[in-house]
Amino acid sequence: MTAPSRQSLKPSTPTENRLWVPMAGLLIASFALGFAYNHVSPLGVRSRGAAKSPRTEASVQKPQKGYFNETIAMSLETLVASGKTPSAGIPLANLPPGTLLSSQWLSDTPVPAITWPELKPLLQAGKVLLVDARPAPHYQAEHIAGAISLPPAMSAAELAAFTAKHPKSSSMVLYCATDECPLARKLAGALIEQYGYSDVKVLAGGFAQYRVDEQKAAATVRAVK
Amino acid sequence: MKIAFELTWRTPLRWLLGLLLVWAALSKLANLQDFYGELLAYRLPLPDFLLRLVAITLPWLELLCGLMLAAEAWTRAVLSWATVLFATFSLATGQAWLRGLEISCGCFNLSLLGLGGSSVFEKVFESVGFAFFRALLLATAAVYLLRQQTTIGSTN
Repeated sequence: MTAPSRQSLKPSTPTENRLWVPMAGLLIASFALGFAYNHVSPLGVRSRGAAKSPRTEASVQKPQKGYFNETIAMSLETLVASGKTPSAGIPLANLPPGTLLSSQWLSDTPVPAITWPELKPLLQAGKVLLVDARPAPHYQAEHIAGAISLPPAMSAAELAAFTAKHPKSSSMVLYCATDECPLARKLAGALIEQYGYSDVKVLAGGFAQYRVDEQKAAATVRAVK
Repeated sequence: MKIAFELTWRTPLRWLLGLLLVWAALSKLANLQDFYGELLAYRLPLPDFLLRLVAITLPWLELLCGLMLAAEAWTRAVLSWATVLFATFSLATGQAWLRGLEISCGCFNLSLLGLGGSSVFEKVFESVGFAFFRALLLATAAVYLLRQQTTIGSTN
């Protein structure tokens, strides 16, 4: 028994040959579902915030060139792995000014959390400094009004400048994308352990929970009206 | 014998691609705003409105393709889209890798499997280099399935 030839098994109906029809159908369905879901989802894509450039405590983040970030990060991680540094990493203040920080260098100290409903009145009263620990593009896309950006790609010099500007008694709350994201918790731990800040918390649920809470609050206001 | 061999491999490969597409889609749909931020991190030379459009529609295209691939519906069209998606993703991650951008792949949320935070798996899985090679492999698999589908037809 011979195998059927490829020629004889080719689809021959006009419908099967019009590949673009089902492809277009899939794309249109994706558009429709996408916009509908984005509209109702509390974590949908919204218009950009007022701040189009990151409000950082240091100079504007320079464009990254070549393998610069990965090379530096890898060399720092090699130092840690070789046991030449304390388990918590080289104290940030002792790092050369141009060194880029890797999140692995920051502490695992437990940090207390605060919810958005608790934080909101403190923020409005100007009693707390809000810090966005997400990468800069996320901050640029959207951030909580009033937050400053301390991205994971910041240098030791930038973090040192931040700590020089804000006294150890400052109340700070850091947030990341969600609770699964470790950036805010690790940076907060480093601020407590290595820079002596006493009143540092993380926002429970991160930016995602803030969006959900704000949407619930807005819905409640509409219901009352 | 050869056709039987190919038929045996095609179905599990199709299911695997479908599963990966569904997983990737669900990871993005869980937090669209975060996915949009990850798209910005790629620093693609595209206008902002186009990036928003991609952030809003891409996860649904992935989800529909993944489900239809598993159900073996509109297979040629779905595989064509899968090829386009994986090839585009290869280009995006490749240019990010070459430029040394520190990005999260934004593809798969390992917390859905109970692996998250600072686990070793996430570090490897989310690295841009791994994402690039993974996308290339998936694009190759999609092209293979598409060629098979074009040759033999949607008979199985």
